Amino acid sequence: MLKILLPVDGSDNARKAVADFIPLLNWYAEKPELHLLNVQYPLRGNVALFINQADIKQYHQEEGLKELQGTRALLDQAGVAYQYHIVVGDPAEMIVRFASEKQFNQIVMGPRGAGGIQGLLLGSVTSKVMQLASTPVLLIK
Amino acid sequence: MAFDSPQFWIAVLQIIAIDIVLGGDNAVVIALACRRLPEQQRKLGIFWGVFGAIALRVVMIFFALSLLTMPYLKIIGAALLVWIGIKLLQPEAEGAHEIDASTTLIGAIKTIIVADAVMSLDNVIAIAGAAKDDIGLVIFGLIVSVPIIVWGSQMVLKVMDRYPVTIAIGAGLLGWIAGDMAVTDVVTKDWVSTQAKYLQWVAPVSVALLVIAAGKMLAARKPAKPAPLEDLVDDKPKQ
Repeated sequence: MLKILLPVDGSDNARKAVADFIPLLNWYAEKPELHLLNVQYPLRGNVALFINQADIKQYHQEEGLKELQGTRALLDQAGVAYQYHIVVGDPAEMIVRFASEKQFNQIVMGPRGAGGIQGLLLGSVTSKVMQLASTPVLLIK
Repeated sequence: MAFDSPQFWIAVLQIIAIDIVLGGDNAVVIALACRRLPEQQRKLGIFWGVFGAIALRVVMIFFALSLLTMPYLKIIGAALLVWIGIKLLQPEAEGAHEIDASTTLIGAIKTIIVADAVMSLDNVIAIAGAAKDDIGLVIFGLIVSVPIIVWGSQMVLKVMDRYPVTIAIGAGLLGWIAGDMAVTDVVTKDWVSTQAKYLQWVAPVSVALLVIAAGKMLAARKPAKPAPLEDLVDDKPKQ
């Protein structure tokens, strides 16, 4: 079965890309396996000196779930099955690593997420993923 | 310093920038230390944590101001700022420590006090350096840091995550202030202003560049052995 990775941050842009992708699922001969991926930035500065690892993980997990919520609701509503994942690190790097280590066949994402400036051709995360990924990337504009 | 002098406004901007760059993680620690407490206690913990952070800054900055008039101490302060600036540019080290997760209000407050003390220190040295002995500016710097600690931290950290250049600017600014402190110490001031006036701007510029260059180099040298991917969701495929 084809494995497709859909990176999502909490932004409307990312949600829209997934929404636009749902009707395109008919393109695939066999129903692909969909995986949502949310990447949380590591906490900066001295936080790790004072806060327990388990608490930090739980914090990242909660923040990630919040950011995934909108997209998950969308997929649930459309009746599309999916799995979801949350990892911590640099977004573009983690997306690329996750896709290659877990052997995904395709990455599907919008041109920009929360970080991109409107009007900019490509957001920084998307353009970095396209540069670094050895997995094919489908850009939904 | 007068209101109409450019130095005054430069110092104001420097202080705001320092508060932004160095104040953000303090609020995160307070929030995280309190997250396991029951609702009512959590509010108490956050309130006293923020109060403590601000009170510690006030106390420490007045200590700092009198200490900085002593010979050599500005030079030591400058060295500390260089170190803080370089550290700011390093990728964060996670997972090295095992800290007890406190589920009591007392435990959370203990964590917060220690964190407040450590995190206020760098902020205080930098503000004292930027304010150049102007007590009005010092108070201004403290007042500006309050809303940043209380409300602004999430936003500040998001901006720093998404636009890493802001961190480099912050580190450079710390270097700038360090350079300025080094040439205005009691033991260097007279010599610089009579013998080598150019150092008054050469030192800040070169120390700022040094901090950015050293920080970037160290960050690049860190062995990029990627930590194993850890999925924080244990999500088995739904049947």
